[in-house]
Formats: sequence, C-alpha cells, structure tokens
Amino acid sequence: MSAYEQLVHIHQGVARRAAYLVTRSSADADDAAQEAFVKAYYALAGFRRGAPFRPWLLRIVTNEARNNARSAARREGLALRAGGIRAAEDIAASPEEAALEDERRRRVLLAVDGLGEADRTVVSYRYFLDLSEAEMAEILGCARGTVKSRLARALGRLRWALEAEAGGSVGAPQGGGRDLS
Amino acid sequence: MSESSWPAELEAALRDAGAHLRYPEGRDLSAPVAHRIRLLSTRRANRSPFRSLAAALALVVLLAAAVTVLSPGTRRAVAGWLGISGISIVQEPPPGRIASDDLALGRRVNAERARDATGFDIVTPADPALGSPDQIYLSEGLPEEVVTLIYAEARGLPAMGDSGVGLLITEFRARIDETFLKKLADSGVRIRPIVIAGSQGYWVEGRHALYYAAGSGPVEYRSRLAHNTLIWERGALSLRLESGLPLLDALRIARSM
Repeated sequence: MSAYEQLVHIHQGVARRAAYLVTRSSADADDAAQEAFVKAYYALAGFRRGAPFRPWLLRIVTNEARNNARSAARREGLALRAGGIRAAEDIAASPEEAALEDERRRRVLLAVDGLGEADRTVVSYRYFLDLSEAEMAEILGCARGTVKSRLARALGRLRWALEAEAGGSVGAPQGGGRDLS
Repeated sequence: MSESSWPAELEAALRDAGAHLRYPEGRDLSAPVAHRIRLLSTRRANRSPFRSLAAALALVVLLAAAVTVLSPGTRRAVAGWLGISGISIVQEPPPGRIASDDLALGRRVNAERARDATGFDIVTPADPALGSPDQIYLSEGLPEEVVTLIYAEARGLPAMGDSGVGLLITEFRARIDETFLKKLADSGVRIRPIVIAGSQGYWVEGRHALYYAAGSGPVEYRSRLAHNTLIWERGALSLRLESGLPLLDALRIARSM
C-alpha cells in the first residue's frame, strides 16, 4: 500500500491538473482524480510492466473526469495566476508591457475555454500539460496521426475564435487571407 | 498572424498562457485514496472466505448489452477505458442442447473440484425444487476462474430456445463496475437496478456480454442464450443468473442463494 501511496504522491499533481482542465471545477477535479487513483489501483493487474505509468493513469483520470463533468453553470473559467514567480523576460518588461502580456494570455485562455470538450482536451493536454503526442495517443486511445489531426483542427478553430474577437490578434500583425481549414 | 507562421505562433502563445495558468489548490490525495482502498479491501475480506484477495487480483465486471455493442471496436474501447491493452474472448456456449460434454464453458467438474480450484465458496440456490445443479463447469485458461452452474430445462423451468438449459448461473470473483453500467443505461440499454439481498443488482434484458479485467487482461464473456439476466454482487463475487423466468421468479431464486 505505501508503494502505491508514493505513486499517488508523485502523480497526483498532473492527475489533478488534467482533471481540472477537463472538468473546470476544482471540487470535481479532486473527486475525479481521487476516484481514478482508486480505480487504477484495482486495474493494476492489467498494467503492462515497464510501460510508462503516467499516460496509463491519465487515461483513467480523463475518463473519470469526463464522467464527472457537471453542468456548465458550475464551471470555473481558466484564469491566470496572480503574482507568483515571473520569468526573467516578464521581470524585464515594463508594467504596461506586463499588463499587455497578461491580457493576451487571458484572451487565449478564454478562447480555449470556449472550445468544445474534445478540442479543449487535446489543446490543453498538449500545450498546458506538455504531454507528448505519443502520450496523448495512449491517453485518448487513438493513433498518433489522429492526435495530430485533432490538434490541427482544434488549433484552426482556436485561431478562428481569436481572430473573430474584436481587435484580437495573438501575435504578429495579420497578413494574408483567413484560412479556416 | 501571418499565414505560414500562425500555427507556431499560436502554439507559443498557448504554451505561454498555460505556463501562467492558475490551477486550484487541491487536497493531498494519497491519504484519502489509501483510506478508500483499505476500506474496499476490508469490506471484501470480511465477507469473503478467501482472505488473501490481493488488490492485484481485484477484478471489475463490466456489462455491455446488445449485439451491436460486441464489436472489436467496443472491446478495444472497454479495454482502453481501463487502460488495459489486449482483450480476449472467453468461450461462449454454442447454440444447441447442452447435454453434450464438449461445451465451451470450460471443463466439467464436480462441486468439490470447483471449490478447490477457485478458492471461493460457490453459492447455489436454496430452492428445494431446483435441487443441485445438473452440471458445473470451470472455465479454462484464466487466472481467476469462472464457475458456471447449469440447471436443466427438465426441472420445470421455462425453455431457453432449444439449449436444454433452464437456468444458468455464472460466478466470478469480481465486482460490478457501476459507472460503466450507468453509461450503458444512459445509452438506452435496458438495465434495471434492483436490490438483491442487500446488494445492488441489475436486471438486464436481452443479449449482452460481460467484460471483466482478469490478471491477463480484459476478457469478454458472452452468452448465446440471450435471455434476461440478473446480475449482482455477493461478497467478493459477482453472480449472473440467466433464465427464461420472469423477474420475480428469478429474484426469488437469487435471494435464496
């Protein structure tokens, strides 16, 4: 049992974050992560030795989180951290620049929030949790090629959402026509 | 964003936003998880005569109903849901009368042998009209054996097609996964929850299959009899009772076990 408690301790961070990105509710995320760890314990018999534990666990977490997803009314939106450690480039920025950066980040998070569940999951898992395509293929139970194409489509929809927002442009000034594919 | 560089720029913006994302403070999960596992394991150990039920042997019984669900894609989905690779099919009884001994339920044994092999106390109905099972089968090739009890149709039980079987009881050392059942019920499968001797049970109509996670990976157990079935837990066992009987009669038998 204590060996498993150690596993929980090591992986609960990413498990909770993944669950939060799916449920967008802190309480639901903790419940889902906890339930997933219990289920994973009882499914250990089927876990292939030597295989990476994290994607195997996150698959169970993702399914648990999806099962627990509550109504939209109870969801919190993705938000920025207040204060905290700032990267070197953030420190160098003037207060005005820092505020502008934060505003850009907020718009990105809002756009991600507005995505459908499937799109939001692939985008947040890939870019917020930094999971590899191989890991995501295992977590989502699909081929790597499918992960790639889902990501590409989700990014396309995200880009469209960001550009549709009044005055919105995430990075460099716009050029060329809008490609909606 | 310029046309050629927009994906890279958007990806960079996403990573940057993600690096500043606020995740809520959560409670430490290792203690509550450990507590719940101990609770579940204790509950089983106390009810089960088989005390050394290690967590690694714990099984989950999943239920899938309707022929359309029994596709290879679904099996992979079920295996995927549990994060287990590979799934194999257990023998299913062939159509036709069950009087012959070369059934695909496994090998035929007597009650004593079945108890020795599985290590759990096989439960049987206490109904005097039923008597003892006519045939007992022990499945082959699984670390966690499955016991099947057959009562012949001749005992006054309604026929199930021309199988010759009146009542079929399957016993697994496993527990029922309720989340999966809820998902199935939501998708229109006819599953009716029923309490049986204090445990949560289910009355399932029509053709269905069971999936369970054994030590070697998930296994699909399918019955071609395709009659209404009661499924419930009793201690560390999951029990399955299939017959041509109406619900109340099936319940009466189940409650006598």
